[in-house]
Amino acid sequence: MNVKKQFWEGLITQNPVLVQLLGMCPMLAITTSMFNGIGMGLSVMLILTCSNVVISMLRKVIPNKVRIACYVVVIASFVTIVDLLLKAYVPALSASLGLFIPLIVVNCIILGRAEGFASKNSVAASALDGIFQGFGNMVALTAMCIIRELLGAGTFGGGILNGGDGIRLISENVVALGMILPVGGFLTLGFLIAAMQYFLNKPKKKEVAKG
Amino acid sequence: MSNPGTEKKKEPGMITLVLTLAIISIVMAALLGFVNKMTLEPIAANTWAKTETAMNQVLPADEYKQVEYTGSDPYVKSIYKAGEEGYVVLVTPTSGFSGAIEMMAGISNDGAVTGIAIINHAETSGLGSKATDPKWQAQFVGSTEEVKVQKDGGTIQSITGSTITSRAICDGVNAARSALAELG
Repeated sequence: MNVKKQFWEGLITQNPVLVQLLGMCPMLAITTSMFNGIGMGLSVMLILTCSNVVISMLRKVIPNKVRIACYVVVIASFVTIVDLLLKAYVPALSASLGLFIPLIVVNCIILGRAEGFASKNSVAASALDGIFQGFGNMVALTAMCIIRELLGAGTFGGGILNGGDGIRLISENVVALGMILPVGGFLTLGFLIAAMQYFLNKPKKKEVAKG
Repeated sequence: MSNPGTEKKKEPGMITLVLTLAIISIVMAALLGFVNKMTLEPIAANTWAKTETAMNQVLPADEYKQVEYTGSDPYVKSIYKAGEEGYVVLVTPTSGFSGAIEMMAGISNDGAVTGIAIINHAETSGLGSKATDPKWQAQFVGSTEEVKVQKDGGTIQSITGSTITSRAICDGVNAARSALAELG
């Protein structure tokens, strides 16, 4: 078990959104204010960690033939639990994310990590994997939110800072409204993935040059 | 991933498959039942608190009594009498950008709008959802005639990029007023 390597993988080299390209749907849909990004990121992180732990515990019990069905039952249960808890104790976030919390069930980050990591590794490693992959997802979501919110609404920290209005950095009259709409989501995501690929491939080129 | 070559285990029979899945489902269902029971009360309290806060926003009163509405408008959900001040009407105009908007309008005894509130909506986050902004809603207060957005020759300044949502809110306010007129 290599904590540092797992952390680095979750955040950069195997970032669930920007490198593995998992869970694009909420990534495009909810990243319009910082509050949404952090809330969604934390929810996914919690669900991912819980389901990873349970699936890793059951990995020797679950027969191969019905493993996907078992994973989906476990994942769906945790998603419902988080949905209920948010509705009860953080109603503002629940109202803002709406349908996208129940939709975490079909977020392929969760099933992808269950199948690709938790079903083959120890409980502790799977828990760490859930936390780190969830963190990587949250960082990517928040980065999207900050860019889209700044260009589309002209504010920073919407829903959290300045009594929920966010801090206005650009005048309301010059912002690009399209950045808040789905088209802005696709544009931002494209640029982020391109930037990520550029930085990931940089050191390799140096090695080639040295060799 | 499946790697049957390396696993020497005997392939489990049908009964094992069914049993494993059933046991996992039962355990998870029990867990869900427990969480549901735990959160039932806070959720109900939240929903009622939301409605009550909204009612207090649109038309402050000591108590709200439901009045029977038998009128023809299918969008009017319920009407509450707010003390002696006037009425709060729950309407769900369906002319919004995405789905019905659940909203309420407070109307005083002399027919003036005292305030509006959005309870539930599915408008675009960041655009139509700005209809929940009290600063925008303030322009409805005090109007005694049919409300319209500026594009349609009215006085309401629509939300930037969300004329359809703004129109739906106007529809809701108008429906509330005509329902009360019907009620007499």
